[in-house]
Amino acid sequence: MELSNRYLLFVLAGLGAMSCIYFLCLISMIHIAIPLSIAAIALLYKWMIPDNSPDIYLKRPTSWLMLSVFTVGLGIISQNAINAAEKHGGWDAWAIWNLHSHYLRSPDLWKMMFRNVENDHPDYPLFLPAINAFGARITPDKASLVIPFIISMIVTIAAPALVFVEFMKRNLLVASLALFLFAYNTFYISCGTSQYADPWLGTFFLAAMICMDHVKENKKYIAFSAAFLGCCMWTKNEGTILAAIFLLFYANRFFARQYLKLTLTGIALPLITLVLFKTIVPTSNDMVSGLNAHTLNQIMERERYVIIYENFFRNLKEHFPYFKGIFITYMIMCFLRRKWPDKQMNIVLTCLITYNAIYLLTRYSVEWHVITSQDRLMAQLMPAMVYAFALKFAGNSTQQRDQFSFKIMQN
Amino acid sequence: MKDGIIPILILISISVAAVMFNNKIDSKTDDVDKMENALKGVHTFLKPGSNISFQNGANKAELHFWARLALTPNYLANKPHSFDTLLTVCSKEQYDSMNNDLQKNNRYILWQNKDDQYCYILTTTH
Repeated sequence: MELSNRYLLFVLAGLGAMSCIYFLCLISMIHIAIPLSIAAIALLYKWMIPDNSPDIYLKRPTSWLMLSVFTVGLGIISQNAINAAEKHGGWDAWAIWNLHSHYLRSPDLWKMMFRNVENDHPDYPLFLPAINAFGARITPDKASLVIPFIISMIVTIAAPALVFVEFMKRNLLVASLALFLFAYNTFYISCGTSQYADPWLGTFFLAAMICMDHVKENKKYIAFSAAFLGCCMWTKNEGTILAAIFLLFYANRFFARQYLKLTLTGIALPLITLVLFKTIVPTSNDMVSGLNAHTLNQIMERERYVIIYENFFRNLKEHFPYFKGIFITYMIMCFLRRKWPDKQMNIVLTCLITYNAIYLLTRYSVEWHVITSQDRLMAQLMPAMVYAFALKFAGNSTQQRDQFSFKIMQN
Repeated sequence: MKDGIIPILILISISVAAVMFNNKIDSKTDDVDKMENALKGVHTFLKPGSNISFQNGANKAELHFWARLALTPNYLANKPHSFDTLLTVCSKEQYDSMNNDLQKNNRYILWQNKDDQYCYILTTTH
């Protein structure tokens, strides 16, 4: 894996670890979050950054052209992000995520958060609120509004950067198109800077996918893939759905005898944190608690399918204008090469179908539910979708790389 | 050498963006700020971790969200009769009638404040 991507993934994993540690320290009332975080980051650095894997692309130098393209893309993303960013974030930021973060700043009274059962969701996992609270506590009061912005900038830039770096040496044109697909998507940028947890879920999911694609180079990446899936679960409730689908698709790797220990090592911290959090939350998820016999009857209501379908294509047209065309091209390429879509694309499509199937079961007005959340769910899957597109359009390089790695290992 | 430049570029970009964002928000006051400024004085009357009722006189849903954020780590129930301490937010035009209602209900004013849009009244029954 490229050094740049190892650094980016290290930052993402570091933030995930810090968030878990901060919350575990709150729960146990032991105020050692800072030394524990430093220790975790040092450990992660030592484990994540060194890599002597036999990857043919690592042998190619990074050219000035690659750096120039990236700098331009980065500049556009940053400029659009500053324009889109609001002082206190979007509605859900001040109504949910930053509200939770404000409570988590108080080591003694943070559980007061659970009393907010009206117009709030105290059962939402706490990756983002915990990292914002931790940041706010270790910086001066004046920086309290800048910390959530910096966190949102990290996630807005991370996904495009990961995809670009992953492909820049395989196919610079595809890598550049992927980068500019993010940079010019104002919806993606505004989601990124909204201070919501959705972009984090999408980026962790992408990170898990990238790590999985490097397992053949170095088996440590199975642990990081599992860790990022754990972070998905610790970020949003629907992260558990994404993680479950991903785990199912790669069950033969995650649960293979030689990898099982690494899988458990990676997922342990976020999973333990989430389980502890869920055991103390007094309220259950509104979607889960709303399930009953009538819910199953809703599956038969044709009108629900129509609403979901129409809004999906409206969102696709409004917020992701190029994706329909790119997807059709992707499918045509598969057809011409007489191949099925890649596993990565199948995972994203399964997640997309599952997300939309949930609307069939919602206890709320399906129209309201779809209008208020479907676009964000699509944005969550956008980074992984772009990655899956790029894998196909960059050429059949995975196979070449695998063959190369195999030869090196034989020698 | 060039392999490690990308994370440095990202770091520079985020730092510049943070400075620009700070400059952008410095000169701006939004509704959340207005609520925070208006409720600054109320903290001296509330012990952290208090339970407070909320009366939304102006009938604008966001007021409860903003007040709740400004009053963390207290709990602000979105009902006027849940707890003894009551925070009322109403428009300036509603102030007199709201004040009369509160007094009729034997409520004592602990603290009050006004801004260009709303009146904020903290009351209790004893």
